[in-house]
Amino acid sequence: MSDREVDQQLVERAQQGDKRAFELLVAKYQRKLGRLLSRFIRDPAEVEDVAQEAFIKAYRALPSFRGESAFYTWLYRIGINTAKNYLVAMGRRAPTTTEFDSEEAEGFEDGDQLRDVNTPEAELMTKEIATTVNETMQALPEELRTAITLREIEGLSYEDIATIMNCPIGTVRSRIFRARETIAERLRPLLGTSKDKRW
Amino acid sequence: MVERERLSALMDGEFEEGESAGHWKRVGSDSELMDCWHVYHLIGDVMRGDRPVSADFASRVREALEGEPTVLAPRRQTSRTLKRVRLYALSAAATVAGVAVVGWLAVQNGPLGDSVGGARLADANAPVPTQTAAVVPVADQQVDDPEVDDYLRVHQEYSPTAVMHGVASYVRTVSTGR
Repeated sequence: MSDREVDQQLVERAQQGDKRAFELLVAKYQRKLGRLLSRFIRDPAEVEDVAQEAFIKAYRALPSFRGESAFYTWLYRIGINTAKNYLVAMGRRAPTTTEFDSEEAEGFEDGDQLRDVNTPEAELMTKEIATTVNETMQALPEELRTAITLREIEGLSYEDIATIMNCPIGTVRSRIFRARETIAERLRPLLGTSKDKRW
Repeated sequence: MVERERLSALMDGEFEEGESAGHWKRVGSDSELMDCWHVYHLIGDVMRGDRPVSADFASRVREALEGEPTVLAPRRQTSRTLKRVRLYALSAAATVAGVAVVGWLAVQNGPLGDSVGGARLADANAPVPTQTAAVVPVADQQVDDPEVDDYLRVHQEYSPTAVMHGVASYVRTVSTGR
């Protein structure tokens, strides 16, 4: 089962009335969509408003999603259209289609301008989360660090990682899980639900 | 712990398709697993350089979704179902084709077959008389040796070519000249 099939399963569940399944997709893509939208909307609060609107539009349009493209490609297209409409409504210049395309959006770089306009509290929290993840990563036993890096950064399958690390797939699965759990333990105290907290 | 490890594999797409259905239900109804889903994805996103969003973003979307009518789209056929349907269709087509070929051959070879079929059948049977000819009894062959003629005459009743084997010795052929 590929990553795309995971999304497809969640979409199908959402199409059958399971709103929790759609919430799992929101949790998975909220930061990626935010990063995409921050390319042409500077204010982080506005980015989140537009992202929220895009998710709701995607939910309403779920019956028309046939799975011909990947869910995230479809979602990004909705996000871009929502952002363009938002900018037009605000009397600002919307990016042209050639300036921005959902297909190439998957590989774009982080929007640096976003850092300048975040509130100091939010910026501090963002840095703290990144520092915690990085420090915990460095403190991990080498086999756990390698396994999670190959998965999260390189996007390799468990089978490929098992070949590279010369160990059974079950061991890879266990190492990635233990790495995630170790980092999650360090992160949880930082994560809250208040508005100044980041997630 | 086991459930969380499964969730970790599930989010990586390292789960059998059949196994995942039950697990999605558990994730949807278990707040601890939901929390793990959020945190695990946050870790991956931060490692890739994505920036966290407001902590209340997901809850705001959830509240907005609650106000939306529930989506109920017609169930689509999954790729696995399509493959199965395609397999059955091919099997059925092969069976029909096989029955058609057998039926056509039966009609062609039957007594009501046309002349072409009949001719083909005759051609097919052509070697049979040849094989019969190849086993012509020795007694029918022309042998001019008088010693052999005497031998054959004496032992005629043991000949395997006798139509009524074992009866020949009790039958005497009588011919009368008219």
